[in-house]
Amino acid sequence: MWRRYGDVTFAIIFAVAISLEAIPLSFLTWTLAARLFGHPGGAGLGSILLGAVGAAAAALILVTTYVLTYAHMSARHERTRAEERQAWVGRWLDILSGSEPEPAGTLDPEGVEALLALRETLRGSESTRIAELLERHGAIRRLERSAGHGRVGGRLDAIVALSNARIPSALLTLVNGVYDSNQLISVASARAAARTLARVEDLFDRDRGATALARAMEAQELPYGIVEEVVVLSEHAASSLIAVLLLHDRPRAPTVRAAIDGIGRLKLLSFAEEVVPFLGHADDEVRAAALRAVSRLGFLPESSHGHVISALTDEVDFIRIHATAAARLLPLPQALALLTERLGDRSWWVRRAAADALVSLGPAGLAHLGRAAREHPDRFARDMAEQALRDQVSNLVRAVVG
Amino acid sequence: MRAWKGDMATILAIEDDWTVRTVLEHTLTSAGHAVDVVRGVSDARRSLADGKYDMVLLDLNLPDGNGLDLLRDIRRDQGATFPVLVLSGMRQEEAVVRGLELGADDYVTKPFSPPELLARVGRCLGR
Amino acid sequence: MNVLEAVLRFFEVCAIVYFAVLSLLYSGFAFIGLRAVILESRQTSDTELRDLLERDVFKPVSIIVPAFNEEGSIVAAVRSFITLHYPKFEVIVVSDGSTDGTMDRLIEAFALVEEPRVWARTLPTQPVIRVMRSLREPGLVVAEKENGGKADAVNAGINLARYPLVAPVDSDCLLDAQAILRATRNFVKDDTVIAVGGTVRPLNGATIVDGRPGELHMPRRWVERLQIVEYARAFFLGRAGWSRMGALLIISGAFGIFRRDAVLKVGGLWTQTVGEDMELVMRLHKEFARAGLPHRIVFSPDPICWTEVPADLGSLLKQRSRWHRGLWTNLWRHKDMLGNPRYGRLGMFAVPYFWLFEGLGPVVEVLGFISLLVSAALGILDMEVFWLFLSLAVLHGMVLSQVAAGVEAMLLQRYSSASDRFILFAASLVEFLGFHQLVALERFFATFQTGRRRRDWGVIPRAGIHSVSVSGSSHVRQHSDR
Repeated sequence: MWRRYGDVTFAIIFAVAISLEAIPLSFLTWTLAARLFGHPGGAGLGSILLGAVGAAAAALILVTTYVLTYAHMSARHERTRAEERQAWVGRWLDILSGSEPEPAGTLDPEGVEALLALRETLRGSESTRIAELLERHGAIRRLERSAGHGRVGGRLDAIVALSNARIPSALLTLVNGVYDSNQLISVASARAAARTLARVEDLFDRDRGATALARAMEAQELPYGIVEEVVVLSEHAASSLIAVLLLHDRPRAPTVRAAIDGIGRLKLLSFAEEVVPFLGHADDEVRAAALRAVSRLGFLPESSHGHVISALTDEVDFIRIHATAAARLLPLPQALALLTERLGDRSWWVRRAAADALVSLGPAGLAHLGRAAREHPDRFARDMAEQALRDQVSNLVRAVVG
Repeated sequence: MRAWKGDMATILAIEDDWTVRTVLEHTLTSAGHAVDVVRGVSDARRSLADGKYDMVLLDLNLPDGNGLDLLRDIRRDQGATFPVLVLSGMRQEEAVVRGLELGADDYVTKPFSPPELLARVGRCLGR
Repeated sequence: MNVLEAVLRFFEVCAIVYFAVLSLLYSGFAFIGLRAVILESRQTSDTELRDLLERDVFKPVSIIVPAFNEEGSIVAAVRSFITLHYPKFEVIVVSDGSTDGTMDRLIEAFALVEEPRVWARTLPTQPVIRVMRSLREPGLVVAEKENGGKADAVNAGINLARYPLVAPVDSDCLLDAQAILRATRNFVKDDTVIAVGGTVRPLNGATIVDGRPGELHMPRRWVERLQIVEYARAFFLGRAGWSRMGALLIISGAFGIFRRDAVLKVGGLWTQTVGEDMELVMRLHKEFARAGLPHRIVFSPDPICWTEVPADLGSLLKQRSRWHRGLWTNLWRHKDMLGNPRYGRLGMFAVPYFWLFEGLGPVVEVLGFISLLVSAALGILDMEVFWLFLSLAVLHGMVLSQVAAGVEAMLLQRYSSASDRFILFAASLVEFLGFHQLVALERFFATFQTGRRRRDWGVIPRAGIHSVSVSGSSHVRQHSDR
């Protein structure tokens, strides 16, 4: 999307250009303002303006020269780099297959870039060997160094590179990055740490890494969306991470939500029982997340039935929506009865969710919908039931028409 | 469509990522196959219209559309019978099931292992 | 005579000070904007986007496409929207009482069938006549309603929307394949974000391959070329700068993404203005600030929306007149925000800036020219000062345009040939040799028509969403048309 080089030089050049312009302009403003208030004097208007024009012309030449040169050079530069990178990919594949010897010394940037790209692309023993190559040639050490120091742009680039490399030894550096006061660095580091954590094989290291990452995210109060992403990205390590996040003493509501959502998204059935207490949590969003999670798990522990049933009549609309979706997992006769009742809810969205849930129950649900479409005492419920049945028909037609 | 004879096949790879493209070319060529690589759905349609491929390797998230739509068109509208192997980063069960339902012969998730891919390609071609 | 001369001299000095202050301010914003773009450009990596697509972490979006008499382009537009690169979204086309074949084309192309649908009518709108669904595209919904204007059509679309984010998009726009993906990132990264605006770039001159802009070439006419420079300046420098300062007042109606609950909370779009996009943003700021709810409204340079801009001067001037009237209506409607510390930087800085420099700018400019003419007639015009000042204004404008062109050059998809780059440079010069002044004059008149033509507004929307400009063009308003 963007060319990530030459931009800082550009910003500096622009800063110089602005300053060039700003000096005579400020002087002009000052002199004229003084004149307005009856303090004539200073240089003549003509000479100040002349200075301003000269400065603006210099600024224009500076900026334009840079822009035209950049546009010209960057096109060529990219072509050569792309070719070099591609050549490197081929070369690395040959090296991996043993048909070419490993290069000695420090790698050039294209070589590292090709290797990082391969690390993302290949799986299994090749991938492991790429990780070794990256470490052996000092690439990881260099990236870790630039991830911690220097300009924000350069640091972000290094963090993204580490997030592609997924080298367990860099995990600590990345977790430290989460503590950075710059939110961009903090978020990028958290994602990179999660991706790296997913590749930590040793169980003990994994737990330790998960604990450190969870602490860092809590300390930085990262937003819900990011914590959720981190949980999902950490793949096999997600269980450790979720456990730490939920066990943390007095976790923040967004964190709890993210952890519970992670349980649902990753279908971590072993956590089903852990979700139950949150079905009665004081925070609406947390309660909704817990309902969403059991719904995604497709399994309602016995102990949760009461919570789900009472959530069906919660004050808050979106809780009722999620509760309705989860209610399909109650024992069938109970589910059918409760969902039919929800068809008459005052919120359109709950009625919709009830209809969808009934559809998901198969023939029995469809039969109840059909009956509701004719006999439900509530007019809106009848409409919704009819709508859902019609949707079913058009889905069928679509499947046939293709 | 040309019948596949023996070990060598002409394969169309539809892939937008430059690394994967290079790896596919390298792997398949060194195994003796002929490979054409295109970057998106529309280029793929043009290449397929020439219709001289023994097999298609298909990525799902393409810059100009969804590989599944292309797959559906290949199978339903054109009635093509050559094997299609989906090579995608989408690893959710739903995506895999959907790919296979729409007529893919195999589904390999990225990151992938080149030897394994070669073996699967061989199996698809051998059918 | 002496009094007149004194008045003229006084005005001259005021005008120069006005210009100098504005130039300084704008250079400052431009610098902040440039820095924001540079940081933003490194924020969303390809790996990150791939992760999102592959792992199912995203917020579903309802794209809302209001359409009025667009039989020629609607099918292509819808096709480009339904092939967007996003895992879960729906496209809701709202035909706003079209009298041509818009509905027929859609029915034919997408095998639409009528569906007596039940939905929540949260926002009041003109009656919806029918809702149709496609037998081919599961994510497509088409609603036909009685004419009520663009804002009313979008409101109807919001009522029908199923997903937590809504994205009103002009039907003559093409979205970049990743536009939605990149825009929604902002909602994930920060829970307090309630609206995100993207960059709008002129489509004129681009080759279109399968519903997406491919190679970019300079269009033939200068009117179009000038707008390319204008848009780059307005979005990459202006809006980026305002957003960075937390004081973004406009998200262009051509493409923006909003949290549905936020829009519903403030009652949807206001149908009584021709600048409904800006009005919504101002109202969101206002209502959320009043309720004491943390909120952010941001501009993100990455999501790109391509739009066909007017290709002839007449339509362009009409469009600018409309924007300016919209601007004044909105500023006036929310006049209580002016200088009000309760609204933070917005009330203390952005809104006053818009009154003083955006709203009144053309007035000062035109009065300046008149005073020049009078001075010249009286023989008291200091020719040296006149020429120097003119050169200064032109050069300063060109510097900013070149900086914007520089940001454009950093995009992977840019005007790449050497001759195109040179035309971009030339366009920034040409802009100040008449074009800019003409637009200023049109906006000057628009300023005084705001009140009078307010009464006509009941009629204007009925004239259709896009009939205002001949090329059927955008509702983009720029941050600054300086």
